[in-house]
Amino acid sequence: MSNRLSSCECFESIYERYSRRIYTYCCKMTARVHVAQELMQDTFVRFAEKCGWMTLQEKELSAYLFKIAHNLCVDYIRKESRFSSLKALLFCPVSPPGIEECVVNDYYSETMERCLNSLTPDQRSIMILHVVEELSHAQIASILNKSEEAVRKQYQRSKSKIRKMLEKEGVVNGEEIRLV
Amino acid sequence: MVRKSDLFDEFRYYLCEEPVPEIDFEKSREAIYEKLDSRSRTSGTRPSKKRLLLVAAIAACLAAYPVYAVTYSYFRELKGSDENLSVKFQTATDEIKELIEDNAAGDTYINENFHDVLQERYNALGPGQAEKIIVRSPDGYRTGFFTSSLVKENYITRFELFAAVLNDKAGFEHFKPDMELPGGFVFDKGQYIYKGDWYTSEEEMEALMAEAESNGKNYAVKPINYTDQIDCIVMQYKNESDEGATLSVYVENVSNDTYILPEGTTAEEIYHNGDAIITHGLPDENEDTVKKVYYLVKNDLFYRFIFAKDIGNDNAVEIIDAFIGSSIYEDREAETVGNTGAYEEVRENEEAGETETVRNDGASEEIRQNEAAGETETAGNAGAVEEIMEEEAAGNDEATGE
Repeated sequence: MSNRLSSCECFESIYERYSRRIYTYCCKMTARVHVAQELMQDTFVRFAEKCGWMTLQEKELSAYLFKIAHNLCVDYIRKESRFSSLKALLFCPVSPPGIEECVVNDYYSETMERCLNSLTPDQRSIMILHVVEELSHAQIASILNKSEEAVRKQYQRSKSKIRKMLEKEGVVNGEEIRLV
Repeated sequence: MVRKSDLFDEFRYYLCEEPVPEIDFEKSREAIYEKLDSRSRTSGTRPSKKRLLLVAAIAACLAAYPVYAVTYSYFRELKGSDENLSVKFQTATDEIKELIEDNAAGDTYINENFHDVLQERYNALGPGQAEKIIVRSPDGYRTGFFTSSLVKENYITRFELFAAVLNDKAGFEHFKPDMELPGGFVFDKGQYIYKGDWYTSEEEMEALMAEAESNGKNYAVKPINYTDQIDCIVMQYKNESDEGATLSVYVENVSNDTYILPEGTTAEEIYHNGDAIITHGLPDENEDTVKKVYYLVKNDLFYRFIFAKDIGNDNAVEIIDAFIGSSIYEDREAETVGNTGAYEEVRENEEAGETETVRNDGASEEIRQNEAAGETETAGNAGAVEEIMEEEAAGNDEATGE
């Protein structure tokens, strides 16, 4: 165990308290179970590396963990996006043969995924933190380094975008959202 | 029919209630300790990655110097004040020229071989590794060489399109283009069309352009990156007094690209109000007319102005000046104010490579847009090519758990 980690005695209890929440957040952000697991681990690794010199209040602790998780998720999404873009320009698949078959545990239904994909990474994060984690706009603002007003606006836009998307999809009840 | 609000409630319900699949948190805890151990071992006993990279870079520079010395004819770097913005301009090295010649068969060669080459290189990458590549514009336009990366994640995933599409007005209010510029350049009145992901919306975009034209309007298309804070804008102005003289303006808030100047062109530097503006001619598709390009870094934004014809440096600078002086990004800045500053996460943005696309729609109207990709050429063979490569993937290694 690293020295810095051992100096942070409460790491174990922090992991106990937050690992599930962070994993849930990552899972809902990336829609990939194994990726979420990896990102959750990386969140705590990054946290452990820094917690030696940080003294955090409970409220700040939660915000800090979500901030790290958010950044890791956005990095992941951007990388995905960039590589996918590269692939898209070829008009042919670049991924290794059979790679898609390796993935069996995607999380969302197609409709849900399309809805969330229509949001920018920040919008997606705001939506999840507000709806799932029930954080206030002010708390989210501190996590995302945005103003509270900007977060509120983004949330409203995301709602409107999702409504439009669902209308476009012809969703008339929850069944189509739920089906995986 | 379900009311609009109900649709969102349904979405909200499943977003909240759908349980996430169970994982073994104990194993994850062990994995965290392993990662921490491995990191502390690595940092304690091995030379740092940065140091190794520095040594490799010096070695590559030394090896490449003879070629560089011979082929060097123009190199200039424009930098923003915050160090994030760095745009390089240079003439093609021998390697680049060779690359162009090797691909003289153009699209055929690319189409036939590129996928295999890229696939081979991708397969050779280890988990978490990345390789630099050069992206070339798809229309055989020799000027568009930009750097990009081929990245292999260190976890298996489905590489499906994840880019978000800005399909409503989100983000747009951050940006207010000038409706008119000197010299008769005007923006299409009230008709703003913008798309986030051009790969999936190219046809739509063309349809919108056609629609705008059929309504007698000048089109204005602005691809916008997926971030809610606009990273990249392309605008198209049209000179009413002269049908052929269009002006496209490309604005990016962070750029780390190297631009290879077209062969046979000479870059010129103009100084205006203390700013360096790099300009050069740009052969048209038919090579019978010459466009004029102006590059400028100002206020940590990278600007590229492409005039459909050479209207003279003085006139061009007047238009550029008017554009730069406009209220662009005012709202955007306002929105980013308010950071808490309580915690600092060092984040490095990585931007996709960009290419240029030129279209001619038969009505002798040229649409020029800057996009986030095009055809790609691999160029991982070091040498002088290495010199133009940007360090863009490094910042996100942590996200891959390396």
